[in-house]
Amino acid sequence: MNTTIGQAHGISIAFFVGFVLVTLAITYWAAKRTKTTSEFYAADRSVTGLQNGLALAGDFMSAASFLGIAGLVATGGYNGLIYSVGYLVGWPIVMFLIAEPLRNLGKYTFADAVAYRLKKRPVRAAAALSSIITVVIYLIAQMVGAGSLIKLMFGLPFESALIIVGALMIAYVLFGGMLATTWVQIIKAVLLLGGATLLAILVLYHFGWSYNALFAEVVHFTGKPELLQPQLSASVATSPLDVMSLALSLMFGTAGLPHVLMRFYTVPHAREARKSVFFATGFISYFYILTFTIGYGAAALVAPKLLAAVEKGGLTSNMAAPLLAEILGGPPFLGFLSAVAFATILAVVAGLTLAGASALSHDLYAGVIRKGEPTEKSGKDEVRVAKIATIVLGVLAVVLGFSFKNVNVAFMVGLAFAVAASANFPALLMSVFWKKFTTNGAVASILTGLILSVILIVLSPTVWVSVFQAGVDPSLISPAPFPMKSPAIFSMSAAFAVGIIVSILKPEKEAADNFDTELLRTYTGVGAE
Amino acid sequence: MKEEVQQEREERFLHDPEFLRVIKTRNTIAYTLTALILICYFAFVALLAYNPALLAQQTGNATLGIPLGIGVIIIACILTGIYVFWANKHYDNQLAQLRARLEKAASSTTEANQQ
Repeated sequence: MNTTIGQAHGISIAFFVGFVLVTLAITYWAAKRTKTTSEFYAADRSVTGLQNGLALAGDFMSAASFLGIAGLVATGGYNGLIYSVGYLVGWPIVMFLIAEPLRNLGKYTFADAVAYRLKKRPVRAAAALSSIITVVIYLIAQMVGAGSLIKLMFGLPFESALIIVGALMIAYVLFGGMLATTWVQIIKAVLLLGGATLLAILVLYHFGWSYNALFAEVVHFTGKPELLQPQLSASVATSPLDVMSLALSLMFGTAGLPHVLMRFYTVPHAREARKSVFFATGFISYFYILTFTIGYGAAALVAPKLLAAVEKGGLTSNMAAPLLAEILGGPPFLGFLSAVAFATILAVVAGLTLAGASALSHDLYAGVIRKGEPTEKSGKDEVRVAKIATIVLGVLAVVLGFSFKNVNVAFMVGLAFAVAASANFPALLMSVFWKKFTTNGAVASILTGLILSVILIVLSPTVWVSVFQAGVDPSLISPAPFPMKSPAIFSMSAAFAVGIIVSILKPEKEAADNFDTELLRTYTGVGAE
Repeated sequence: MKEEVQQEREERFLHDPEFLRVIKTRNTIAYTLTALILICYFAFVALLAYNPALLAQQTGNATLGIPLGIGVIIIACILTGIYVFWANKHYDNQLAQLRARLEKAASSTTEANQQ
């Protein structure tokens, strides 16, 4: 089909260069306000509820979810909606159970809240490990997605695309810390919401503002009524139990993602934290309804051409939304959306890098390696370590992006959610709500969730069959030892069970004694930073 | 000394019937809303996993699964909205008043002790 996707437009380059200049100016402005630990990790707690809501929503409105879900709906129909619902319902859980204790107990990372009344060093070491692993997995997904996307949309080679992304994200985080990272995310969220709104409006306008007409055309044009029906393909889940497991990991993964939890420390108090969850939930819902409309719009207007192009190679289903934009809005609109997709990647990887750097510097360096009370000098050291960690992680992300070039992006994001739901969420929840939870229980729970979720995924069809035995004659393939795609139903339950058993077997008097102090601070916020 | 003051504050708050009542209301609301979203979401997912034929029924040109899926998203928004509206309007004010009363009582005791 005739499309200009893959050629560098003057328009998309102009939009992208504009975005980079504005964000670098913001980074310059933020750099003057980024000296202390509180400024570097938490934007000096100066972010408002609305701003943080946009930034949180921005973390979820990644290029993967915009292009990926629209593409999934366009080619697989209803499946895309399952992911949208799952990603969204984590937010009420964050609101009702996590936001207030997290904000009131912690300082910069979710490990602060887990370790609040437990022995700091072992808990921080375990939480830092699981944070870093979650962040690195998510980062690989975003980097690989970024490389292929930019290659596809701008015609840039994969490697140069990754180096541009890596260099810019290091610049944002290194000089501008959380303040720059937040504003980059906010600007991108506004651009992306605007672009997606316009595209959805163009779709609905085309169908006379009627979803009924849109759905009728989806079936008529593609000849596939099943696009409107829930039908779990083997690529999503292998059994009904697997669907439940996927649902668990999508819901509770949100409540365990370090780069999301970290944003709660950028607002001044619990009140703004609550507002930010509400705004985030609203923006993300609105965005998912848009991508859903765009996805079916693409099914009704470009699907057969898209599928033909995918089969011929060169395009992927991710290009459903850009193709639609080109047809409905012409090359200028395509150029704008391409630039926004690039910006989206930058904003998300910057947030991830900052979360990873904080786990290394705040949890591991300041919390485990260096002992003693924080002083002004130790704060400076910590920021220095955080900056070194930023560079290391940035370079690592580019290198990992090169080496995992062919990994499936959706799979990596799923893995990150499974690890977050299994390793981070249970320990956080038990530490906040259960008096008898102990240091050993926390460490055991985190390690169980982390190790089990990773092992089960390696033994699942996704890795065991599709990766290890790629290209093997189908009759010779040995079946995966673990038959499901999502491990959360086992790994998350095991993390809870192990945490409970270890805590009961060996009680920790001090931790239980401090529960009242924790409770009071959780509710009143007195003493919270 | 600091520990003692802290200890006393905790006792004061955690033995205050008004404070306990406010906390209990907060927890009832938060846990009820949590239960509601869990029920809605897992009912939807269970239907999807075990009875997809039901969700595939036609309603207009769409299938039943589409409004139900969008419905779960909208319910999630409404529930978070209810909580933030209640907590930021009522709960925070009640807590602030309680804090003012209890801290005032605390400082007058300390003064009395000093005299």
